[in-house]
Amino acid sequence: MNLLARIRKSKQAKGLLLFILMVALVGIFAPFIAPNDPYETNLIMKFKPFSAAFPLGTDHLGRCILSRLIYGIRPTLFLSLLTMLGTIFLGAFMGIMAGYFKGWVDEVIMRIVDVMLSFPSQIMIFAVIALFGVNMINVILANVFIKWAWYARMIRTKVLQYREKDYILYSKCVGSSGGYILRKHLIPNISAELVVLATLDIGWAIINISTLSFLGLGVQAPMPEWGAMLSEAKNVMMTNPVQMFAPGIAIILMVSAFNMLGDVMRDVLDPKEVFE
Amino acid sequence: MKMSKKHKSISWILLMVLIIMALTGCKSSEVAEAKPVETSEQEEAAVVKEVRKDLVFVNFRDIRDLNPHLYAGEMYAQEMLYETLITITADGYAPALAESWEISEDGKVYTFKMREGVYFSDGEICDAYAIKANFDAIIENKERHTWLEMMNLLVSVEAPDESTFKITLSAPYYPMLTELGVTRPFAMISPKAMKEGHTKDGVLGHIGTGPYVLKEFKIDEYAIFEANPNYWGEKPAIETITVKVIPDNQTRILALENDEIDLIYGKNMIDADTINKYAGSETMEIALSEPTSTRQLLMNSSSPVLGDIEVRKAIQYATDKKMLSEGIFYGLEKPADFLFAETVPYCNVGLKAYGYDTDKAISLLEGAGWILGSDGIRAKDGQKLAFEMLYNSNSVTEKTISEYLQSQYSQLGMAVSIKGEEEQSYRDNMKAGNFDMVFNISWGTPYDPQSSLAAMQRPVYGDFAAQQGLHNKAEIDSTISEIMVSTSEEERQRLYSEVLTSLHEDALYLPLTYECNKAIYKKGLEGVGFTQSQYEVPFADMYFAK
Repeated sequence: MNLLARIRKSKQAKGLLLFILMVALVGIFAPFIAPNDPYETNLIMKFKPFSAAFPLGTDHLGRCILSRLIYGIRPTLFLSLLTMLGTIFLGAFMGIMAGYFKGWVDEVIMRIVDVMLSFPSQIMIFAVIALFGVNMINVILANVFIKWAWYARMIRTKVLQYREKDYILYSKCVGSSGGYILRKHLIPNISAELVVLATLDIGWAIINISTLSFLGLGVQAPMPEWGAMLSEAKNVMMTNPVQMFAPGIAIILMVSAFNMLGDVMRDVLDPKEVFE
Repeated sequence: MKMSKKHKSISWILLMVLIIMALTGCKSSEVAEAKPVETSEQEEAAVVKEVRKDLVFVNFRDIRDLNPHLYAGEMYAQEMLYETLITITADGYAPALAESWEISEDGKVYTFKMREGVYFSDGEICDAYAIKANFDAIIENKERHTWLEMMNLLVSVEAPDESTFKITLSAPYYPMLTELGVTRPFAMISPKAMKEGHTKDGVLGHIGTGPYVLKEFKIDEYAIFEANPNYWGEKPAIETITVKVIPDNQTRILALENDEIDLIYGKNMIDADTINKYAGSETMEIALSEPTSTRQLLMNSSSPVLGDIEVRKAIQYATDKKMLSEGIFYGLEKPADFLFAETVPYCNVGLKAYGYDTDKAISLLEGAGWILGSDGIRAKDGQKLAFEMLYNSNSVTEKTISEYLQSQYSQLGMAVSIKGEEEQSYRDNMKAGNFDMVFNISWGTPYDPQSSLAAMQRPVYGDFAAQQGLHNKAEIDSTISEIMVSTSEEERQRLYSEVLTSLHEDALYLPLTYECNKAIYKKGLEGVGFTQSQYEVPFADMYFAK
């Protein structure tokens, strides 16, 4: 049974995927959906409560919070997707290299991985950003840079598991090239597990990018981003506590959705489940 | 499988609980707050009412190095520990360590008669010899004090006997007494605390003659000051002052609400929203001073974009100060048109304000060849109209102002990036001239206008670097030097008008609002006021109501 068919069987997976897809669509079509210009300031209208013109009220510069939330989907969701793609690509490449070629390639890659994994990830991100400067590309690079090692190790283990399987040995015997084995045998087998890992980690990437923006190291003003919005709300926590809710709840929902999806996917893809 | 379903429902429940807790978080904290109040009331009823004599103050950073002859320490703390020969009050100069003074007819010799019976907190007597030792230590480090024009005019300092101190200048210098009266560097430290007569490389202890002594401190956590039992003047009512370090604005307010601190004080420590929130509160009082200085942005004339005077002028016209004043400060700070308010001495020179006029701003930009590109950003000869605005992230409102201006200027086709830095690195960058546009540090009374102008001649803050690209920089500098040694009032006014007019026409300074000092404190604390200097906190006047 293939991946899609299995997912289709699970209600939870379908629901969560639908939710995430919807959010992504809202983000893509933000200019048509957002009620106001997210950059338009009006100091006289600051900290306004919910109204028809501003469904979620206005922030400290009188900007529409709902519009900023909708536009904020773009950096929050898409940057984390980009981060995960980068991480998986690099991690898978390194992992497969290490697992498939073994020997000194494996040694070198795995020792680098060990070094990478021995640092606390958040500190490494700060270090990378401090070195290369604050901008979005560096934020993504920093995240990829600290996360790939983890994937490389996971994937290497999987590759090691599969490469001794009979059908691969057979394929080798009949003279298939390394690339062919990789494409036809290894990657399809590993990809299912990669998907689960990656889905789980998108939640992690969202939190990470938001954290950096919250600290002023990620997405820069005036671009709307959930973490940055939360940071702005924090600055008026005592005087206007309601400001925290919109970006805060948005982050909670998005991250929980991805975490639960990862969870559900694991169940769905669990071989034992298939037999049940 | 069944297990995992159970797990899932549990995690759903936990999530719900979390959300509910988050939503009701505010409420439960209210309940928690209400409790201590009750108990303290009970305590009050049980114990005979005792007047509090300890105050908890808060600052955004540590007291740092309180050497009175250098500039690295917090000024409010230096004011608590040390005193100067004379002090500046609203009514003019008043005696402090010097009981009286005389100025010779040619204006060159200042003779001070020392107050008797003044001792440093280590028991050393504060006589003319101690003052002489202090001056020697200060003068030794002359390069550090170049913002004081008197340093260049100084001929000698002498202490002919223990109660007479004499300063001789090479030319009459009108702001002399003001410079002697400011917090630093002419504050007196015990000669015993100096390192063999020197202070430029640090001091052995923070021993002064002031109303308080520094009892203990822990870097970046707290500092405790106690009343000086041997203080010569009136002893302060508050005997112990604890200063906590809380860098974040919201945390400070939370601490005030939770009775952890009694007073927040300072022009950049409290935002207008907070003032608004506590106006008319039953537990808090607020106090606002008269305008003390000008909140202003400084443009760098050496920057590739802002070096163009037409761009600077366009920015002057494009800034809606009235909206800033009303929108961000709720009118607490009035819009400013000039570098110095017209009420500052010598500064009512009849300049014409730039005013808010976006059409004019656009026509200036178009006229200077800055044409709107397809990306919505103006450009001229391939140079984009883009620049960076640097703000102090320890200030509570500068970020908001930056964001607002960023959005305003973007409508005119200017791409502004904003960058916040922690106070020290912001100051360093400013001094080094690493900025296009920066929130300038305004000095306020008693430094305005003489000291702030004198400081423009040398790299003190950002002014010196920012003015490098001006064609008339040399002229401005020489006029400023002339002002300081001018003897006739008329001549002085004429020179001031000249400098202020040319700075205004160069459009280098973008005045925003006339800022004021703000305080918010617990009800029961009385005597919270403001002095002439916006950097001083007059703890000695404060007391708790009975």
